[in-house]
Parts: sequence; C-alpha cells; structure tokens
Amino acid sequence: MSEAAKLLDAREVRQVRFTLGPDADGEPSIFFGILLTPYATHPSRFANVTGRVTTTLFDELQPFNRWGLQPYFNFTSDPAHFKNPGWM
Amino acid sequence: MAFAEDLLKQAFLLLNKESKNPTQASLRRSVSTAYYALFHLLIQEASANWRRADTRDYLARAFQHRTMKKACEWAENATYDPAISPQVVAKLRSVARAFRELQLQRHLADYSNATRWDRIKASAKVNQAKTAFSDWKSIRKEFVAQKYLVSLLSNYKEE
Repeated sequence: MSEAAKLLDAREVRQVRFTLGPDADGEPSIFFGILLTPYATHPSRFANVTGRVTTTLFDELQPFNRWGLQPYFNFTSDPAHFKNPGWM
Repeated sequence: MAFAEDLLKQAFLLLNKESKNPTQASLRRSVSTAYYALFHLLIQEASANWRRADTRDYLARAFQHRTMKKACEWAENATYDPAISPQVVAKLRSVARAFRELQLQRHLADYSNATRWDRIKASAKVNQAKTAFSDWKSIRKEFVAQKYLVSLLSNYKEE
C-alpha cells in the first residue's frame, strides 16, 4: 500500500488510508480515503486527478484479483473529514 | 441517450445548487442521480441493439442492478486479448468501475444517514460518471464494448 501511494503525485495527494469491510451487497471490500491538496481540487484538474489516483491505486494493488476485495475510492480536501471514521 | 444525459446534467445542477454550504439533500441526490445517469446510458445503449424499436423499452426493464454490478466486477478485473487496444481496455475498465462504485454510493446516498457528504466527495462521484460517459462514447463501437453490454443483461463472460 505504501509503495503504491508513493506513485501518487505529492502536489495532488496528501495522504491515503483505507478500511476493510463489506459493501452494500455484503461483499468484502476495501474503502480508500484520499486526502487531496487544494491544488488537486482546482476545477480544471479535479476530474483528471481523481481518475488518475483511482487508476494508479487499482492497477498497482489489484485488490480484487489479489485479495478478492472490491475497491471503493473516496476523496476529500478536508482533513477533519478525512480523520472521521464515518466519512468513508 | 437524451434521458441519461439529462440526468447527468441534473446531477451537476444538484451538486452546485447551493454556492456555499451545500445541503446533504442536494449532495446525496446529486450522487444518486449520477448513478442513474450511467445506469440509463448503458441500458439505452444495450437496448438500442434490439432490432424492434417498439419493444426496446420492455427489454430495458429486464436489466437488474445486481447482475450489472457483477458484470462490471468481471469487466474491471478480466484479462483481455492483448490484440485489443490498451486504451480501449482502460476506458472499458473505467466505465465498469464507475458503475460498480456509483452503485454503492447511490445506496449510501439514498439510505445512509450516517454517511456525511462534502462537495469534494460528491463531486468526485459525479465527475466519475461524466468521465464514464465520455469514455463510453469513445469505445461504444468496439466489439469488446458491445460484449460488455450483453454481459450487463446476463452476466455473460468468457472464461
């Protein structure tokens, strides 16, 4: 996980965390929380950044093929949200 | 595609309904609407292949959320023929991932009062739907994309 996070652009991503649990269908899942920088959330680049981060983490970790986990990705730029266990 | 595209526009309108301090209602409805935009886009695309136009709407009712999700799980993680363009595969995976993820977010947005939304979190999901629309439009005529449409109805897959 930390190796995959190193591939993300530090100008865009401050921190990544994850939790494990079932999704709405009860399937084993991994929920990523991604704390973005203000630079990343600028409207001109926001969609590209979230797409790129998702693809990088998915391709590097391959959660389903390796561990049978469905990956879900949540983004925020608010550190308080990011630290809140209920946010993801 | 007009209905699906109208839903996507509506998702953005809801996302930006309040310029400051967006309400949970607007953000949650925005995410839910984004899911349904992609849901209807894919169903309309699949149904359009049905030769009899007067029965396409009935065919569209046969699609089921859970079957579509399972098909998307497969499409996201499958190993594709190396002869297929990597760009096409990447876009197909992006569409499938968007559908699967948005389905869960729709569930949370519609039912979970414990889940809090901020504009960034909701915006990421609505933009994911928008990207899926554009990715789909660029691959929709590819054979692998058409097979994916069939899989949404039946969870058909090649082992």
